[in-house]
Amino acid sequence: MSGELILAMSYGLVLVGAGLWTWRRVLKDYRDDDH
Amino acid sequence: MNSFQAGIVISLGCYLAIGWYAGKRVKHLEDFFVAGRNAPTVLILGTLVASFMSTNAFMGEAGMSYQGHAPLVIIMTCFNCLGYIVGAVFFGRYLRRSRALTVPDFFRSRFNSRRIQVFAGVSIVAGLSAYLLAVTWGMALIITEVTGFSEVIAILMVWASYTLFTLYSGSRGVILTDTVMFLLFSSIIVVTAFFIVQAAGGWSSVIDSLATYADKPGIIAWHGRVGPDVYWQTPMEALVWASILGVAWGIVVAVSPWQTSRYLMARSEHVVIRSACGALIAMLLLYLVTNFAAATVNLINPDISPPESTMIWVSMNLLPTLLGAILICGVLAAGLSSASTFLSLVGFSVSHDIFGSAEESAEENAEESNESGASEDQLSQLQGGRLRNARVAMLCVGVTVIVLALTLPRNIYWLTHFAGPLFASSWGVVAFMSIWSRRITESGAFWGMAVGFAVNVGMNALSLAGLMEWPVMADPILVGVVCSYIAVAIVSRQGTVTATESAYQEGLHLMPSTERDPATVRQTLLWPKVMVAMGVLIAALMTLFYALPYQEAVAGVLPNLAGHLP
Repeated sequence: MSGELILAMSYGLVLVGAGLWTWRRVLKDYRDDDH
Repeated sequence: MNSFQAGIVISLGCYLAIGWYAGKRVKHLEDFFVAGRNAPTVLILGTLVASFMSTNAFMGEAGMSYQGHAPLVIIMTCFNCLGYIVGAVFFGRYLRRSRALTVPDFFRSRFNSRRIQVFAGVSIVAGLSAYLLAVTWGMALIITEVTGFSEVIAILMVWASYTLFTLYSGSRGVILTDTVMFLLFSSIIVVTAFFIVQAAGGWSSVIDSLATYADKPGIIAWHGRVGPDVYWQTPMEALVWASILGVAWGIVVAVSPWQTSRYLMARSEHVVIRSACGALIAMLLLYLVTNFAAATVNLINPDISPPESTMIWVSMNLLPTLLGAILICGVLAAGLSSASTFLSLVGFSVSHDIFGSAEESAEENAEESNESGASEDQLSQLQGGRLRNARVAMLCVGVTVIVLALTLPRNIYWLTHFAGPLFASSWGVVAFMSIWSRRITESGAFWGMAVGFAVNVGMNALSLAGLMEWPVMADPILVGVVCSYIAVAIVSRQGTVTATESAYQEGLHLMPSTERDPATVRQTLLWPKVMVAMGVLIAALMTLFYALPYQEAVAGVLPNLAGHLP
């Protein structure tokens, strides 16, 4: 796999990873257990 | 008056008009300092990006990309933009929960310490005034180059425009103008990139030509240009440099006052999280477009000098006149938005954090009286007095800056690289530990800040004097952060945490019930979904339109070269 391909994938994966982590964190911190 | 002069004068007039409109709604101190704590996601997102992206993004970093290092800027952006998420989740939303007026004000409440507030306030005044000077000079340089106005006139124009609306409207005007400026420079840079690519022969031709560009070999390889002609000798050296500086600037994004103070204005904690998600997306896209466009300019004119003026050359020689004038206004907008944020924060720190204690006590006393139904007029009078004092302090700061801007020798590069990261070293560790550590004491926090500040300033001073050249692994930002942590750990071990400090820290972790509304949470969850979708899209597009065509172009050159071998 070339460095350019890794750069292209990583640039997108930064957003994917950050999005998934934020999703989990928001659910964990703000979910109302009574609902 | 030519198009560039007219564009600049009209855009400055528009910002003043927006500031005047916002200023009419400033009635109380909270309106002036934190925009009434009622700002929606779009305004916080706009001000976050606009405050971070100054003229440096469209001149310094675009120039670096023009010289052949766009991939390094892209790698750095990957790391530093993550600071938005880390900063919002681990610091920003708790900062907002504290309902402080300024970030130093939060430190005062957290550690029940006036000296920490004053120290943090002084570091804002020192660091952001220096940054403000650099941005003012940068903007004046652009105006001088494109309009022919003298440097003094350009400095006065720039200074008057950001000072007037910031002075009158405070944070209310700053976040509104920041958002307008963010929309302006984001949209014009996308249009500009389109024109640059078309002028260079279309996208596939651009990738083919840049992949095999002989004058600057490796200009769009994953590591950019490396070798004896440039700073980085090998691809690995370039990668390490970009990663370390990316992490260091990520800490700046996460804790610096000109970023985190935006969260104090957010309508809710959900707005903090949503705007951080949006800022991450916007920054990744803007840096990608800007820096690839700057690299592509080589195919149209490979001899722009100095490289920092690449976008100015584009505006004056490549774009239609109207669009060129708008691009210049966009680049100026990036600088003005940062300048107005810096000026407002310095003014707030002078009036509230450094000289504000006596007035604040008087107001607190009046508030107590008010609770017993005694003196509403007195409270209102004190609020009005503090609002007036804040404006006077801001004017004094503004006057000082203009005197310095007109008299000091210009050193834009050094000031930007000194002032921006200073807060990461000084505040980084203390900011996160103030939320998450039960063992950090008031003395630990104070000395942690002081040591981080001193180490960063000391290392930068040695470097500036030419006495030392620090390796990238020992970047002053990171060494400052490590030294700050060691100071916090050692000093905190010698003392004890008071009951007041413990109670405040525990209080920060009590979730307000209003933040748990299921409909609001569902809305917030849309943003991470968009991030994931955008991430997949960006990875797919970059693979299809950059990585694969690049490999093909390079592979096509190798057989040709082989054919020329004896």
